[in-house]
Amino acid sequence: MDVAAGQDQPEPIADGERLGRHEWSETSAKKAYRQLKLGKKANIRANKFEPRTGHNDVSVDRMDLAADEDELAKLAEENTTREGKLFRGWYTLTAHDVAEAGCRARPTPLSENPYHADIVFPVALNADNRQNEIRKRAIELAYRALYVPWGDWQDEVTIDKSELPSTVA
Amino acid sequence: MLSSVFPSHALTSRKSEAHRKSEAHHRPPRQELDPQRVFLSYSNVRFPSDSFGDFDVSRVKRRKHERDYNITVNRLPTGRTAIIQSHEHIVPTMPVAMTIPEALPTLGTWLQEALRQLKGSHECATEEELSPPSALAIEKADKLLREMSECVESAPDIYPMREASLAIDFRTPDGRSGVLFVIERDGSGTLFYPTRDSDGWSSVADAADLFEKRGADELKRAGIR
Repeated sequence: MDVAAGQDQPEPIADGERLGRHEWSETSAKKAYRQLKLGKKANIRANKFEPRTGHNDVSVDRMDLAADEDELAKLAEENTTREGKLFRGWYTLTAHDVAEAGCRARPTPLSENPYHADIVFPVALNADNRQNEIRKRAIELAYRALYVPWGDWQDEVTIDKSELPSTVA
Repeated sequence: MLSSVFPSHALTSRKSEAHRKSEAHHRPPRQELDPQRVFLSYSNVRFPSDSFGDFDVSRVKRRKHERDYNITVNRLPTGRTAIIQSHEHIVPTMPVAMTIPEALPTLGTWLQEALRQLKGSHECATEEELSPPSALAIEKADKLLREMSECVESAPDIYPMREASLAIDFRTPDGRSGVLFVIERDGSGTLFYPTRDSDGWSSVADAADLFEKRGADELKRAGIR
């Protein structure tokens, strides 16, 4: 991992520390934001926490380590723009949530993002049923995650009054 | 029986036998609804709370538009007439009396949206930088969704997962747990469910069997109806 020299981060990551995974998919972001606008918990898709094939970790930002979310968002926007994407917010959960899902959080600061960390899936590359063990944990992470939207696109999500919950007369 | 008002302009949905037979040819597959549990859909209507009299109406659910309802009526003797009282000034042309047929060519309330999501799964995979789901996985998911739509009230979310697989994701009402069906690239399937006693997943050779073999029980156990 490309750990930047001289970075001074607390070790280990505190139990209550918030970790945020980037979202850039327009469809998923709007779906999650729509649920927030309807007053519900956004149902985060399990594929957001699936590691790439052959890998055992997914990247996150240490949300509470930066001065504020603006600073993190600026870094995230720079990274996603470089990849031709638009940053649309984070899926956040605490290190405690990560542990409950059977994973652990590890600080892995990068030169371009000193707040970078990894959620590590403790499943051996040659383990029996590796894929299902990975998925089980990704699903548990998704259940616990909350959506924090970011960006100017939020006004594009409109809610019709008739979609708001009500009871039959 | 229901107390009801019959406006002079009331329409009924009673259909001729010939019409019914002709319609049957155009029905999509898997329409074998339980004749004792009938799904009705109404548009642009309001129902007073006492409209359903002694019928066992298990569900009156408002849909997307303000006056659209889906109603599940249980244990109706076949052919019995259900009379739905409505407000004349709101629905001057809607049916107020109808014979409950043995089976209505009506899909589950969420099936159409689920199939739309399934159809868009290739595009979604591209956006998420995932491999598109295999044709076999889509075929199995389609079959599974049609089966489940007749039994499960809660709508699932359909999306691609890694390894060209598909997820059918049911959540509990609070969104903090759920039951997730994964249809693999090769047509096999895995069910993920909340538990503290076992692995939390179980696999089958044919994903189309997931609901029948374990899915229905796990959905019930998770409190997903």
